[in-house]
Amino acid sequence: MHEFTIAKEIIMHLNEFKKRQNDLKIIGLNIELGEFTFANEEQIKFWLKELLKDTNKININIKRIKPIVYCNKCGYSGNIKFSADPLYHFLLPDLRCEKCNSKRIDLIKGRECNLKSVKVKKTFNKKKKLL
Amino acid sequence: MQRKTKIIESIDGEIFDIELSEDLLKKNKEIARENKKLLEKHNILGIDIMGAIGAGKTTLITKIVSILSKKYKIAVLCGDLTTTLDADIIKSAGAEVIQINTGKECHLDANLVRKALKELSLNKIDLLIIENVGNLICPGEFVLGTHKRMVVVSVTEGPFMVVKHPYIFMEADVGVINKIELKDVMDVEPKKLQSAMKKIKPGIKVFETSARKNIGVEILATFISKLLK
Ligand SMILES: Nc1nc2c(ncn2[C@@H]2O[C@H](COP(=O)(O)OP(=O)(O)OP(=O)(O)O)[C@@H](O)[C@H]2O)c(=O)[nH]1
Ligand SMILES: [Mg+2]
Ligand SMILES: [Zn+2]
Repeated sequence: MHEFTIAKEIIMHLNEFKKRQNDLKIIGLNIELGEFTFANEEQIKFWLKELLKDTNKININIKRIKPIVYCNKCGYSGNIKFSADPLYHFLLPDLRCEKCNSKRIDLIKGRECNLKSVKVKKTFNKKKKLL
Repeated sequence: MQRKTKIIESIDGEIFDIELSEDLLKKNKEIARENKKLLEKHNILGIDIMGAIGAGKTTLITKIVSILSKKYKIAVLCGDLTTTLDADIIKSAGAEVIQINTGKECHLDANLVRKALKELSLNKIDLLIIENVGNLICPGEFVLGTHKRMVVVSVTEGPFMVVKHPYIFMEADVGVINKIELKDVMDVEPKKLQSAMKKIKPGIKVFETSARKNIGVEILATFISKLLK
């Protein structure tokens, strides 16, 4: 259920944006979600639509970010290794360096949960509702 | 010489993107950092215990508390949806316990922990154990400000518990496989759970325990007491 928490946070940022920029109407949202976050894309969309109820015309775009690792030993930076376990039929992320097998790996991408940008429409009618 | 400043104005109806780059989990991370500072100021080791519903978190904590409370002052924060059952059991083992009811939320967050920390006399505590809400998904996303994160699974959840929830193990420093005495009945090989955990998080420390039969609990408690020095 923490998709609700995330959706609420987004709404808060949108409200702040509205206060700063009342000549811009928000028509779209671009969200970045790392593949290694625990949040479910559809549920975020669901809660946003619920919370934005009366103005359902905002286009919600969620981009998944592929995980990228950095190896502190050999400097390798790139995709993460997944190993297929024939026994389980699952793909397991394998946090070891693809090049040198070191365990000193940092995940530098893949845990994002960002409100990347908003798509806005310029409007001079200040009375217009903005959300 | 007169210079004309060129002004670019957007026209009515024009559509464009505005970059915000707001980290939606930032607030939690910031409060978690404050929590950690507070713990360090008082020389307290913090451990966040996550795990599936009924994996044995409370029983394990109770056993650890009764071993370590002879030497250390321990406080336990108990995250639970609604009840105080877990809190009562742990209190009787010799720890100061604060119950955090999360209501409908599936996880603890740093702010709830911060509130709970205000209720404790921190200068009298050596070890803070936090029992997170039983759930293998959401708690992983919300750091609390502890020094270590532990994930408890049990063999009764079957052989796929780890591979089905790999992401939470990426967040873990310690993994515990509990109810080990039931491995034959359940036809689960703990070694396979271990190797899955180690694949996902190569540096993870894994312990096999039976909180009920007191197997491996002493070893886990010793590991924690070493972190306290
Ligand atoms: N057989 C066996 N049962 C255990 C063991 N550890 C705990 N249990 C039992 O499993 C049940 C759940 O244990 P808890 O310690 O309450 O589990 P929990 O993870 O705290 O559960 P929640 O807080 O509800 O998510 C209880 O009936 C315990 O007695 C064990 O090692 N072996
Ligand atoms: Mg419990
Ligand atoms: Zn490497």
